[in-house]
Amino acid sequence: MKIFPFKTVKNRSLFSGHVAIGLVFLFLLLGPILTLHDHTSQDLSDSLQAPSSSHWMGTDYYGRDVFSRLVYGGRITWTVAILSTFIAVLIGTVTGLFSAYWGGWFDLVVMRLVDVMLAFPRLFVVLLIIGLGASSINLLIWALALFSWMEIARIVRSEVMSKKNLAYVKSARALGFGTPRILFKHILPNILSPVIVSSVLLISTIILVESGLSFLGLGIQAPNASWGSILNDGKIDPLGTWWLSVPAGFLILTTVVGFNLIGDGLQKQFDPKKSL
Amino acid sequence: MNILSVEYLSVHIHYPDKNIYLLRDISFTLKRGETLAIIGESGCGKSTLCKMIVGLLPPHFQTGGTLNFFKNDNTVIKITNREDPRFKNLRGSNISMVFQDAPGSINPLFKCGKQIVDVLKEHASDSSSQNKQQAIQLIEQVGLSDAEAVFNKYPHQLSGGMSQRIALALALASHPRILMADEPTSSLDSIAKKQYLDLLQELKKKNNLSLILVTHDLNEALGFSDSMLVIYNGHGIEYRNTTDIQRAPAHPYTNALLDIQTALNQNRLPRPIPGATPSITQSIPGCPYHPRCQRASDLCRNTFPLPTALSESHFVCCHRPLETN
Repeated sequence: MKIFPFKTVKNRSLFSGHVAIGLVFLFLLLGPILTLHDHTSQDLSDSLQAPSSSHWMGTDYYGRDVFSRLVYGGRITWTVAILSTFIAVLIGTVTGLFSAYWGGWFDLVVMRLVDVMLAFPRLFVVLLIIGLGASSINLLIWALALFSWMEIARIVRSEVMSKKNLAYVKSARALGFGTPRILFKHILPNILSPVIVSSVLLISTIILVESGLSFLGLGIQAPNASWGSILNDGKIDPLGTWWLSVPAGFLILTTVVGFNLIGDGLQKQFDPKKSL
Repeated sequence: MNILSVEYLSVHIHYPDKNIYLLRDISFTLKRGETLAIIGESGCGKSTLCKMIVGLLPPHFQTGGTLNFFKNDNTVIKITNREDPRFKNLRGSNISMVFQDAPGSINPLFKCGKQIVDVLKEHASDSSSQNKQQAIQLIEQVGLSDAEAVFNKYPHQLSGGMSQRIALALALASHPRILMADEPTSSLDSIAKKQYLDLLQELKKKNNLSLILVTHDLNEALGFSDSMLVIYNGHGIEYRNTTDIQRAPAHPYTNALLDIQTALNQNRLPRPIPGATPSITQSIPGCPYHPRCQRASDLCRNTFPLPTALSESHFVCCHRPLETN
């Protein structure tokens, strides 16, 4: 694949998605260099200041610097989203692979489990788990992951079903390769593209869920920040303290739209019938 | 010396009300260095037989019978159950297969060379540089010029004939003792077909292979094989060495097929066998060939003819076989 020069970008959604995510990523990467303030240190005399030269994006109720809170909060949001997506994709891929390849009762049990778990609304189940357990980032990551792998498992299963009877899989068996080898080295690479697309889309879904949880006060706990909790800080007077609500909302929006664009773009890119 | 002997193979699918037999009581032996041709019409069970022998049938197909694999020291590995762990080890190292759909039998995602190297690695413990060398040799052996370039090509960059040869190289990479080719030439034109068959013959000699060639081209089978198994409607109706079968077929069906082929070779209009091939789901009482057979008697209409040995290594399923002297 060429790195397209600007004028001849063919896959626009992939390109603009990368630009959006790239900008947010740069912000998260370089943020700590640009700010002098610790994101958790309070200064009550400096409470709710509008953006100025010393606090580029103002301060919140406790006088904490919003710019550094956006940077560190974003880092936490991204880490949570990427880690739980990774775990979810891992679980979904392995269960989907074995479910389709073995079939029979194992397939039946796994797929009914998937049906049951999909019947629960994810936000409320995760809310319940976080509410009942001790609120920690680890718990948040695992709760999000354990309620996100089902779609991936379904996709992988259906893809494997369509591939496992193809001649090259049979020929691999006839050549004496074992089942795990066939699953992971012969089938998996051939079904990766829909998995990649849906995991990119899953990242943005999880960012939204995590922001929602933090907004409700159940996700990332103070003094740590998250985009959702910063949004929450500004909810008393969203127009008056716009520097709390607007930048955090904008970052969530950009990230989610960015990942969705990348997902759509990849789907087009992987499509063998594409007419780009 | 035998290398594979197959005893009373049968395959059926179990339905609540009946069993549908795809193969019934197939027996034959393959001698070392010999070519066995399996011939029959489309849908008679040739490919099912191949898949059965390498253990690739789907789980809902019920199988029966015994496969005896003879090792070099003449000890036998008897396989009666396809779940037998020894069966997995026999695949590739002992028997390997070229599929009818050769382009489809190569993984589209990896370069041809890498796939051959993978098979080499699975079946040998050499260093990887040697593996690459061996893979290139294999590509040369199957008659592709510029092996180095083919090594680095993806399957979609190959023509049909080339991928046919790469499929052959893949099958040979595991150093099998038996090579099974399931209608390898059905997608090739007649010149490519001839070249491919010559290549098979040459590779067979060079690598000490025993060959099972599945085909519905009678000329190909006659010109190429040492012995022949004729399948009709899932039954192995006649098995004998090729020269004798050509000289004096015992089963009326074999006889009719040979007559047609002779007529075609002499540019005469052949006399077709009356009737049509029965469907595999149809259950025919007695001999499955009797509705089309001119020699059919009441016995043929009522009882199934069990395989009988007319001489050593000559089996026929017929109540009223033709004279074979």
